[in-house]
Amino acid sequence: MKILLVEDHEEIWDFLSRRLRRRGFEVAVAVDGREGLDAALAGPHDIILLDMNLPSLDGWTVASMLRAEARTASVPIIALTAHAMSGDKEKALEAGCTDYHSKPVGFTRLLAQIDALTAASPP
Amino acid sequence: MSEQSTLPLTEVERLQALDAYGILDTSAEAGFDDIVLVAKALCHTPVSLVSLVDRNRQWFKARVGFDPSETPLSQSVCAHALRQDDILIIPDLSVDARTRENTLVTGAPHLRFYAGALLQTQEGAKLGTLCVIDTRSRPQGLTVEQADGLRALARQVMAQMELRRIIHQRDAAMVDRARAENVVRRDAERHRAMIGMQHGIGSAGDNLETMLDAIVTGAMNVVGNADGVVVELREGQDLVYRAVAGDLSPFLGLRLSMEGTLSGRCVREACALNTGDAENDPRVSPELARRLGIRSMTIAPIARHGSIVGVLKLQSSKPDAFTEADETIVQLLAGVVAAGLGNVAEAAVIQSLRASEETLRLAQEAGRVGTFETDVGRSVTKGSDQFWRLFGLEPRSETPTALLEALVHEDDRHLTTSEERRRAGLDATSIEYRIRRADTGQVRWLTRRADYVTDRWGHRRLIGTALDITERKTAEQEAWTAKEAAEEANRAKSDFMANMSHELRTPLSAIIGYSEMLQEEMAEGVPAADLEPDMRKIANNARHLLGLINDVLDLSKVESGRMEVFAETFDVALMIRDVAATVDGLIAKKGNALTLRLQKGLGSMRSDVAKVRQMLLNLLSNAAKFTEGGTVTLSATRIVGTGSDAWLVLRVEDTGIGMSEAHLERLFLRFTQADASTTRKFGGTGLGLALTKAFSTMLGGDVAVESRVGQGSAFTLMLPAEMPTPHQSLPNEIASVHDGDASHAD
Repeated sequence: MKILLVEDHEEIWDFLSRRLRRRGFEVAVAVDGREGLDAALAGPHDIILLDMNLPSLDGWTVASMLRAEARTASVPIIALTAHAMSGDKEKALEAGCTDYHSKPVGFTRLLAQIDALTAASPP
Repeated sequence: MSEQSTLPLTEVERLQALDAYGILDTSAEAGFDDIVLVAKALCHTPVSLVSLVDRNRQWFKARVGFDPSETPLSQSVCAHALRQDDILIIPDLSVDARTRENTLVTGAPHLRFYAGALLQTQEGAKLGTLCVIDTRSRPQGLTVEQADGLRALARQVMAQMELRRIIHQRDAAMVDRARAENVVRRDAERHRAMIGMQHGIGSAGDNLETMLDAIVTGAMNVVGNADGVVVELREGQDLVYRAVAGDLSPFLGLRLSMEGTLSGRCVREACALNTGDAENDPRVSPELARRLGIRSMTIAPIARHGSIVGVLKLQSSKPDAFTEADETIVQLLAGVVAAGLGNVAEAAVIQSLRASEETLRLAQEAGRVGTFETDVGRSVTKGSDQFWRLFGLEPRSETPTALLEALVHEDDRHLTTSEERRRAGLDATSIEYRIRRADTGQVRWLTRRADYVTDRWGHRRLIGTALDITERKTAEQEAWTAKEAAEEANRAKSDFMANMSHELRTPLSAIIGYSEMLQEEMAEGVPAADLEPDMRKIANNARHLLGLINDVLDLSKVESGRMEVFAETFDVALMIRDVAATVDGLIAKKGNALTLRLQKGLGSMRSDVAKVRQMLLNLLSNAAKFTEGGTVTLSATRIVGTGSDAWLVLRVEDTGIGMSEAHLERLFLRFTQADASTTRKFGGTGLGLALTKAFSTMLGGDVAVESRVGQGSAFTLMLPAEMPTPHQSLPNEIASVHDGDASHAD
C-alpha cells in the first residue's frame, strides 16, 4: 500500500510518515505543493494525504489539478488542515478531496479513514 | 432590609443584560465552538461549556463532551460560580456542600471536578461561565497558567458576544431605516397620485362627470386607507351619489335622505365631520353603516357661493382608518370639487386647475415637494415657490432651463439632460440626482418624477415634482458605512480566531503525534537513548505553545484594559546591557554579532522595566531570527522634546532579509508575520510585534520600522523617560516630539 504524504511542516511529516511506516505502509513525502503535484503525477499511489496550507502551490490547487489529470482523477485524497473553521471542510471537498481530517491528527481515526477509502477503491 | 430589596433588582438587571445579547437558543457558532475546544485542551478535561445562566435553566452556547443543550438550574454548578468574583474551582463536587446533592454528581455522568471563569459584561453583569468539567476529582485544581488561560478565553467569549450584539444592533437599525424609507415612499406616491389627479382634472375639460370621476379616483390613490370615495350632491332634501370610486362604485345614483346620515349632518352643520367607529356612533344609522360596510368616515362639505351643495366622503371598513393629514386632504379636495362645480359652465379646465394647484401648493409645503413645468420647445421652466427653494433660488415665475441644468452636479448631468431628450414624449421618468445649491454651493440630492404631456396646440411640456432626499441619502450612506465597519470587525475577529486555532493546533499536532509514537516505541522496548530526539521535539513544541498562550494572554489583557503598568526608576544603560547579555547566545546561533552603541549619559528612566525589557527582547530576537552571518546593532540615545521632557530612543538594526512595503503595513497586526511560511522557517508566534506596539503605547511612546527587501530592518522604540500616569492623553505630545526630533537630528 503506497501513501503519498504532502506536508510542509517538518515535524508533522516526520512523525506521521514514521508512524505510518510502522504500520507497514510505504510512505513517500513531499514538502510543498509543487513537489507534491509532481510526485503524485509520477505515482502511482493508493492514497494521498494532502495538507492544505502549503508553500508554492496550496492544497486546494493541488487537489483540483490532480482531479483534472486522468491518471490521478480517481486516487483518494484526504485533506489535512489545521484550520477548523466552518466551511473549510466544504472548501476541501469542493476542490476534489475525497475526505477531510482536521489537525491535531487523530491517528486511529486517520487509519480508519485510509482503510475505508482504500478498501472502497478498485485495486 | 435594604439588601433584600436590592438583590432581586440585580438579578432582574442581570437577566436584562443577558437578554440584550439575544443569544439564548441560537444555533452553534464556530467562534464559540473553537473556544471550548481550546479550553478543553488547555485544562485537559473531557468537558468544556459556554454556559449562560437564564431564569430557570442554564443554556450552553457551545459544548464539548456534554450532550444536553441546557439543564435546569438545580443541576447547575455555574449558578454558584456567579456568586463569586473570580474563577470558581471545586476540586471534588461530591464533597462540596453546594454540589454534593446535584443529580449530575450523584447520578450519571458522575461529574467530579469543576472550574468556571466568569462571563462578565463591562457593566459587571455576570451572564454565565466558560467552564471545564471532569468526571474525576482533581485535588490540585488548575495550574496558574490554566486558570489564567481560562480567564483569558472567557474574555474572548465576551468579545465574541459583544461582536454578535453589534451586528444585531446594526440589523435592527437597517430595519428601522427601511421603515422610514417606506414612509418617504408613501409620501412620494401620494404626490404622484396628486399629479395624476391634476392631469385628470385638466383633461376633463368642461365635462362635470369626468372631473368628479378624476377627483374621486385621485382621492382613492392619495389616501391609502380609503376603501371607497363618493361625491354626494344635494337634490332637495336628499343627497345623491354623483361620483363614486372603490367599494362604493356599485352605488352610483344612490339617493339618501339627509335625515339620519352623517353626510346630511355635514351639509346642515357646514363643517367637516369624522368618525372612527361608525357602528357605535349615535350620529350614524347602524343599518346604513352595515349595508355600506363602513367603520371609519371622513366627510368634508362642498360650498358654493356660501351654501353647502354636497359633500366629499371617504370611508373605510377598518376603524380609525384616517389620520388628521387625510382629513385635511379631503377638505382640500372638497374645495377642488367646489371650484370645479362653480366654473363648469365657464372655463372649467382653467379654474379646476387653479384650485387643484392651490391644493397642491398647500400639500407640497408640508411635504417639501416642488412642482415644475418645462416648456420643451422654448427651454423655459416654470416652478412652484418650493421648487426654486430646492435649488437655493429666490422664487420666480420662470427661468431658462439651462440655468437649472448648470446647477446639476457634473457627474449627474447626463441623467437630467440627455435622459430628458432621449425619453421625450415617452413614459414617466423618475430619477435621483445631485445639485449644487445656488445660494450655499452645498451639494444636495433631489428626486424628480415627471411626465411628458402634449397640450391641444401640440406644445410638449415636462410636468413633475422634485423632492429633497439628501437626508435619506445620508442615512443610506451611514447605514452602509456602519455595515462595512461591523463586517470588517467581524472579518478581523474571524481571521484572528482562525489564526489562533491554526497556531495552537500545529504544535499540539506535533506534541500528540510524537507522544503517541513514543508510547508505541517504548512498548516495543526501543532503547531510551533513541527516544531522546523525539522527546526534545515534544518539549520544544510545548514551550512554543506556552509562549503562544502567554502572548495571547498578554494581548488579551492589553485589549481588555487589564494589563497593569508598574513604574519604577532604573538605569537605562544597565538595563540594556542586561538584555544584551540575555540574547547574546541567541544572536550568536546564526553567526551574527551584536554591537551596542550607547550614548554617554543615558541616565535613568521611570517606566515599566519589565515591559521595556520584553519589547527589546522581542525586537532583538526578531533581528536575530531574520539575519544570518550579519550584524545586529542596538543603539540608545537620550533626546529632549519640545518641553523639558526627555525621551529615550532605542534602535535595533539588522543586516538581515528585510521586508517589502506591503509587509511593513501589516507588521504590527496580530499573527501577521511577513508571510505565512515565515513562522515555520523562522519560528516565533507572530504576536511579538503586536505586543511591542501595544506596550509602547501603554508606556506613552511608540514604535516605528524602516526596512527594504534584502537590506535589513531597523525598529525604533521611542519612550518617555518619565512614564505618563495612566489616563493622561499623549498622541499630540508624541507627534510634536517627533517633529522636534527631526530638527535635532540635522
